[in-house]
Amino acid sequence: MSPVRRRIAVTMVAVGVLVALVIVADGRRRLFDLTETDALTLSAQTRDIVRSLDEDVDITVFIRRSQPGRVEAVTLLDRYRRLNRRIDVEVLDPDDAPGELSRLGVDPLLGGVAVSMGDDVERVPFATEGDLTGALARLVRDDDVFVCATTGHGERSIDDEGPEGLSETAALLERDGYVVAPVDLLATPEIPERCSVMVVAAPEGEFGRRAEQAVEDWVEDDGRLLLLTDPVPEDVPFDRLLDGLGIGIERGVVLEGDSARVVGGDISAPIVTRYPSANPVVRGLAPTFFPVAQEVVVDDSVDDEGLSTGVLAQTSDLSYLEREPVAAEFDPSTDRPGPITVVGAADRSRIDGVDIRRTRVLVTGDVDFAANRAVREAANAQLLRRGLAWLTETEDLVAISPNLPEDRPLRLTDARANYALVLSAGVVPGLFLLAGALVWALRRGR
Amino acid sequence: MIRALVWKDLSAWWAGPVPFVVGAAFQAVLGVLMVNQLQVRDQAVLQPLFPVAGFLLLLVVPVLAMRTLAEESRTGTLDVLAVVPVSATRLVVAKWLATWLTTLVVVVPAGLFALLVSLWGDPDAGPAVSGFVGLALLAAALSGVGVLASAATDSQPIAAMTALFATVVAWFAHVGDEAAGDAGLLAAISLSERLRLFAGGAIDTGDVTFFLALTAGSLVSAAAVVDLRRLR
Repeated sequence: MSPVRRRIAVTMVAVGVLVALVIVADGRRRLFDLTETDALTLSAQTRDIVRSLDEDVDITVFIRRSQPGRVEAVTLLDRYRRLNRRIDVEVLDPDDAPGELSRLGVDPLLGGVAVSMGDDVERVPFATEGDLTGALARLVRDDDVFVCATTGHGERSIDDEGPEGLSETAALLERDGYVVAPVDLLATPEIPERCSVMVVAAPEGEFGRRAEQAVEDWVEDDGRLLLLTDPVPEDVPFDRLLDGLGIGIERGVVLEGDSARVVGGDISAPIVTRYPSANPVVRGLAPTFFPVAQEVVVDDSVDDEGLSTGVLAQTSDLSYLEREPVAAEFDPSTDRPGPITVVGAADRSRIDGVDIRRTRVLVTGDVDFAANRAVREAANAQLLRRGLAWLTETEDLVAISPNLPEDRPLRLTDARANYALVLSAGVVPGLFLLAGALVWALRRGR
Repeated sequence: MIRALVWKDLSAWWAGPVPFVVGAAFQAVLGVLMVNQLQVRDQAVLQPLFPVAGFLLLLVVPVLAMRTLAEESRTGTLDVLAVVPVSATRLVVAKWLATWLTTLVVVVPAGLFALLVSLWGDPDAGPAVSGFVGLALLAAALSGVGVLASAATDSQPIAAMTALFATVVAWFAHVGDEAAGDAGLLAAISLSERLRLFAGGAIDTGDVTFFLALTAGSLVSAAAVVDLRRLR
């Protein structure tokens, strides 16, 4: 063999070895996630579900360019796509793609994610691992998730289009892929098996014994309950429903003493910015508000190994629970000083043979935040959607990290933006040119 | 020997205007684009910096690398080097190292944005670290391709255009993949896809291997081209 041919052959072999190395490395890749929240680390459940996909899946994320989490969403979706190239990903600004929003049935104001396989579309609120994998799992299993709202006791209605009704809320949830259905416990005190979550929305009258027992049994037996309470009327007890879950209701009306944290000057409509929990329902959540709320009492001293409770949302230190709203003035002998908890959650799991039985309850001290008049205000809809996502998590998805991106606001005023522009596009290039001129001058001087 | 060759090249390059002008142009364009990104997003994130800087490197590195071997070949100094006891591999590695170090000097001031974003917000440090690691690896691979293109021709403009064309095609390779509905073959060689996880805050061993292999493959090929010229 001539030296030329030998050199060419050696080079081709070397390049071939390098190509093989890349193929092997791609097959045995290892990821070092440097993000503070481990936002790019996918769970074993996600990897299993994504790898099992044998049909083309389109994931379309609608998120504004200025919205927190857009960058993280793009990177997270890339991880899904690398696991299975049948997944195709598109990230759109809702303002730029009204046609796609309409076609995929995603709310234009709130955005969200549409995951489609064939003719089936699942919609989820966020491009987080929990939501995305949940949607994929539902597509693979072809399951509908039923959210059942109790009726028959004066509850807020999912058909009521008035300001106090929940029709807007129901529509919002249906866009997220849930099937929202009424369940009349007065007529038939039984909970249909198809229900994944029960919503009890501020009943005006007490549940009858049989209806209460049905809900109690259902909650006890792996149930998921969203209990939206309201200070009015005062006489509907929820003690039996929440028995043993370390969560309860304290009657009264929460009044906010910080004038900067009320809506429209109404001290009974506190704005909530304090979320002292790592629970995905409230992690990184923007402010919410609760028009006329009572207190949710969370007791973490209940002696139950499988029970974990959490304070999810609290009003400010200057707020208090007014027991006699007619005379709205803080009375230390009867009223409770802030912060006042307005959202609490409980998760109770126990092992039953090889299965894990899990009960989850989310309780709010107010129903109006989720009613038509307020659900689209502030981050109220986000709270509700995240709450439902947390409640409907199936057992195999519970261990998945929510991977919610942090809100990292940038204090970039116009003056600072100009400063950054002058510095980065003026001063730094100028220094390069100045250094070049100096070198030129020095060389010329020699 | 390699150190002496690298130093010779660095001294020669930085005595001329090219690295200064290229560095100024790179930083000016990056500054305008990045400030715009920060204003649009209003979030203390550095992630948008890296794809933008990566794409600009596609334009910058071929200009820096074009004269490495093409210039030596045109002026005849490559023939002089052929008679001294320097292997083609060492010569190519020295040229690549000089190009890569010059590129890093051009890129490093972009760290200013990490400083500004930290002053005016609370960014996640992880993506900043992984992003700059990704840019360094991308610069290494682009420098390798640039040196290979420069080894293949006597003409600096042709070397620059060849490297630019090859790397731009590789940057957008995944687009062809999506159009063909293929199972990721073209995406696997897409430079932008390979940079994406670095920019997002993760270091993937598959991507690191890709950039290192692309660098090594380019240098092996460039050394072969130089050797073949000598043999002929």
